Amino acid sequence: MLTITVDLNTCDNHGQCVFAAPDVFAFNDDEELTFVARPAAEYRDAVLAGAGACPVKAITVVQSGA
Amino acid sequence: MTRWSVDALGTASPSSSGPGVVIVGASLSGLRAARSLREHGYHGPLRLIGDEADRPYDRPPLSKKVFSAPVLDDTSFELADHQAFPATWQLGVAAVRLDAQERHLTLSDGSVVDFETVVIATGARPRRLDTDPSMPEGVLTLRTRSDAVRLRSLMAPKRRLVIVGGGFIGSELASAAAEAGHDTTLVMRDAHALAPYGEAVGSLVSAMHHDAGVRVHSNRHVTGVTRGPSGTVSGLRTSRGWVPADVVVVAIGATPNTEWLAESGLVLDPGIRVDAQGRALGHDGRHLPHVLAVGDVASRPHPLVGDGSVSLPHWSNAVETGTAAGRLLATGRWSAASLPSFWSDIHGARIRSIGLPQLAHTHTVTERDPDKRRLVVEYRRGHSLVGALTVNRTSRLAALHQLVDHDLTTGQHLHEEIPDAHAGPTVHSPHRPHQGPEG
Repeated sequence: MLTITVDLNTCDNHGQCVFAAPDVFAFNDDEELTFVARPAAEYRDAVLAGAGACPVKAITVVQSGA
Repeated sequence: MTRWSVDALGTASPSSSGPGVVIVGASLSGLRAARSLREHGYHGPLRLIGDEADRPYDRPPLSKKVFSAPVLDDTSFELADHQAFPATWQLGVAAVRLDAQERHLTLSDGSVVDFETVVIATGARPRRLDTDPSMPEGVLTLRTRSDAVRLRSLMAPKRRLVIVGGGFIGSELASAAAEAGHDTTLVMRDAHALAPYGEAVGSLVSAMHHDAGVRVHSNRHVTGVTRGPSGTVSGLRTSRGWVPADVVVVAIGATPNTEWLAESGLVLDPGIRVDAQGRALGHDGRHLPHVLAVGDVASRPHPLVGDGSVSLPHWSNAVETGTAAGRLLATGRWSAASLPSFWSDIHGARIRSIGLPQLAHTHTVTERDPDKRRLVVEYRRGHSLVGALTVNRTSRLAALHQLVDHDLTTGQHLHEEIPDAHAGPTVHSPHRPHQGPEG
């Protein structure tokens, strides 16, 4: 299982996660980042790419279970 | 176990018994290549060689936080990645020669390092003023952490900072200096800052500079540096008069660090020409399976530019190409290029861009809110959307990202009728804007 946490105080709206995994990360109309905290396994690679692309390392991804 | 092998893609797969993988350049892209190698299961020898003596650090904060960081020393902005994998580090020594046939590198201390596969990540360095390449005392560029430390130490109260170049680095530095209360002047060749992005973006950024108290001298060429009695800089001669200065930062683009490869047999243009998988091309047009190049130093094909190549000296490109090279070497699988993107923070405004706006010949402002300092600009080549830029409106980029991606996948933009005969497929990057050496 994938669990995502984002430090929204650190997030600076670079948008890299949204480009990498648009089904998981998005900005709302008030320019705030929203995300699916427990995305399906099929998004694993995209989520990891998005987390790795975050310039301020605001995204933590925990993988657990099978 | 074989000493080394070539997989179905023709890429050299390093073994665990030979000299393994050597990465030349221990900054962001080289580091990500190393990390990716380990994460993708490569357990063989791994060596990183870097010409800077200190542990790797992140460069984007240098122009943004040079004055605001509480402390700025040789531990600031360290990249944590170096703890993430086992490797041999050789810092403070540069590679001076590559023998691609015999597979060894010569280093600046005279030693020779063998490799099975080499990943070149030597980056780029700032261009200097053509008129004063020797850089008199008080004139500097901003690329390394020691540059930033020196700039910060030079900017005592009441000293006048003059920045040459209206690109992103120049504008970020002007923003940082003004915020710190420094007397700041920006000298640029074009009518507005960020000229390649069009008038709407440029006039907004120029207005922000004015509002923050930055003196903007536009439409000026620098023709020389003047020096005071002690030999330190006293000002700049420009095409429209003299500008007094105590400290000058030259921010007029960058040049890839490829001189050390002059006799290597690699194609340099001037970046290292690589194929879609990051493998260097030799003069016979074939790729060298055991020589890869990543980050700022590489000039790579991209669906955006058809048969041309593109240098993308952006943080995200360094991450992407470094990660892809590590994965390729460890697994034989390569990663398709994603859309270029970069960001900048100027006077508190978040500027974000995707695609290659420089390919465009028209641009359209689709949203503008002066009160919130919001701007959305779409860049087109013919009918194809080739890029977008937002100011304080990142939320709009996600949808545009998909549109640009779609238009580029079709390749339609490569066949658009362009009235401007100069708009060719080989492009330069936003951080290497269309600026002459004078800024």
